Amino acid sequence: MLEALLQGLGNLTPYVLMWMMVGVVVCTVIAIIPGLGGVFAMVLLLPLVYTLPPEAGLAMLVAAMAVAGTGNTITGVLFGVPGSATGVATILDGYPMAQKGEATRALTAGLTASAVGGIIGALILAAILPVMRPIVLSLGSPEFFMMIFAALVFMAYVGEGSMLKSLSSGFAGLMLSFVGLEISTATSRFTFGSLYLIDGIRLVALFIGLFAVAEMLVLLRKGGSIAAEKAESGAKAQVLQGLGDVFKHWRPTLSSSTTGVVVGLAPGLGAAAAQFIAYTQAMKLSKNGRNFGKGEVEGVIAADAATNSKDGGALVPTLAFGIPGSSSMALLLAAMIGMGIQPGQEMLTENLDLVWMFIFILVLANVAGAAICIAFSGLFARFTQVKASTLAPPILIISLFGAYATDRTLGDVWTAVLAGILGYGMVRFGYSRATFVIGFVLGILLERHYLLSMRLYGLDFLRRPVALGIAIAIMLVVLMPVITRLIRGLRSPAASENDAADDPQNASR
Amino acid sequence: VNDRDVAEPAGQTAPDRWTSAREIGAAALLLVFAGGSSWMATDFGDEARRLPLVVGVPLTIMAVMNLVTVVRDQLARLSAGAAARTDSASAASDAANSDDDPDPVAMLRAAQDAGGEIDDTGEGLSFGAALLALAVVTGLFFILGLIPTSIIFIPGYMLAVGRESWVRALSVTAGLVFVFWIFRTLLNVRFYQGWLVTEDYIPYLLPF
Repeated sequence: MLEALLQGLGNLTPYVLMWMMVGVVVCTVIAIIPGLGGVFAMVLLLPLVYTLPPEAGLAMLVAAMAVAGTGNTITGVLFGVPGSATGVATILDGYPMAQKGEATRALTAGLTASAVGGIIGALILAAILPVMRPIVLSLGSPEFFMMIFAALVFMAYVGEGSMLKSLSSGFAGLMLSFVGLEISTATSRFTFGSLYLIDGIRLVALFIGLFAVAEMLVLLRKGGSIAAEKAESGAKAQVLQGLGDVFKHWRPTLSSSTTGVVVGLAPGLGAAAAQFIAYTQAMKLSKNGRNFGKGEVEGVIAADAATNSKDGGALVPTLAFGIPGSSSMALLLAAMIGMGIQPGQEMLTENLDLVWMFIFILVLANVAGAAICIAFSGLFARFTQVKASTLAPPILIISLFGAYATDRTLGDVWTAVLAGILGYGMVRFGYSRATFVIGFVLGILLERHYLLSMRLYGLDFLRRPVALGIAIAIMLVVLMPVITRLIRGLRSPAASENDAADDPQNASR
Repeated sequence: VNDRDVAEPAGQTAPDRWTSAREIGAAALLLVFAGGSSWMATDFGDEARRLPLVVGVPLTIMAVMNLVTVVRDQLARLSAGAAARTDSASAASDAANSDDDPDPVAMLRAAQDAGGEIDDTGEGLSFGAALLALAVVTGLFFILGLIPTSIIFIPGYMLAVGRESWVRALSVTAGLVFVFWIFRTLLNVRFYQGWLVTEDYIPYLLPF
């Protein structure tokens, strides 16, 4: 193992590092553009990979994959425009922070959390290398179903104002996720005969509409600029504040990164699920949970840490079993196989040095990607001071382009526009978009894992140890306020009796 | 999400009847969606309808409760607003009758309390105008495609609505078109060409 580690470190020659930086820069720049995203950047780089030595080519591809979520933070925080489905949870708190004049702080905190999350993901990957197989095999559909269910239970706490409106929005999002073909019986649901709706409502188009288009409508209505308030402190001070935030709030950073890795272990759950599960978890565990969604820096940290740490977990099934959990992992796998490197047992024995190289690249690329973006964060943040009449027209066009670019379907443009009007209405009348998107993202996965669990185990899936553990944890968290109140209620009469006994004046009376 | 912060604060928009009607309309729409989708779900097979019904029934119940709450709140607001309007109107008339110079802030507050919507920046559009801008850009995008839409809509909006300078309008347009051009040439990204091109209508529009 140590020999492989040193060999992996030895693979990082200046030539390999140079190509790693190419991957970082290309992917960061492309990931900023809504609709294109990290996978698009990897596709562009793929032909180049085969012309390079395997170490350099794979280093470039792994680096591109590592920073795919980093660029999303920029447009999400500044304009409320999700670069892809993985950038939505960042918007929930990042954009309100930008409106408060704290764009640079939010950007720095998010980007640093991305880097820290990526490093933690890589470290966890390194730690579980020897026990990869049993860990991956212990997690199945029942466990993932329970994790998603937990996130949906915690959804009730997201959003401010009326809990009834928040929950209704979440359930409406869940309901909307059922549009399309039901996977077990191939029943088309809520499609109204439309072929476009057979595949369900597209995530990216819906999110671009709900956030980008809706925010531009709001901006056009109110005039002025995105940042309603002038920054209280300068860009440099905000950078330092954002950096400090990540380490000050080390608990959400650590817990969200771990959640990201665990979700990454599951093929098919994806970064969006990782973000939302980590976000709701952090909100429930945080003392400032009530401020989530209003511009709480912990929300930005939780979302971004999970996005990049997921890659560490996602590499496990890809390398150990050759099962890619996402399109970016599939591309990496394709590149490896094209170079004659087989995943599976061979990867963990003969090519272990490559696995270690991947781990080092994950760490370095995350740091490099975040550093590049943070260096320009002050400059980016100035966009929030630009007038609505200058900013809104290009952003509306970029949003339409982003919606179309994902699948090159005009239906996605209509989805984005309708979702934009819906999003504006939700903003106007106080219905939470956060719970809506959480419900939508997790609803798709919830049904898939519920059906798989029922097919495989029947209702016994609830008795599997890890699933049962998660269920007990959910019940404890939900019942905790009631239990605490009961304990306090039991203690208070006793405490008052003690006080009375200790007080000599009372005793004399 | 920060919905309340970006929404028009209740204090700035007087709770007039139209606002109340819109609030109630939104809650009613949610109920129609919840009830309609649950009712439609009953037509699906056993497996296909299970989760939609598990979600749809509580959603419908919540939507009913929400509608009741909204109607109750709006009725309470309307009666409170009517009382406040009477007080503000008499305060404004007292101020007008006095010999002192009118205090503009007090007048604005009185007008706001009395039910008028105040656009404090003077730059914001009405909802109809914002929606029209969205409809125009979508329509142009659908008919003409990405690049012509950028060339027409950005300077058009900036000059006609934003009253921006020609230089700024043209430089923003040129900047965005340049970025798109880079995508097209270097990254080989395909753009939507517009209905006229995709449906091959261009030859019919040309004179020869």
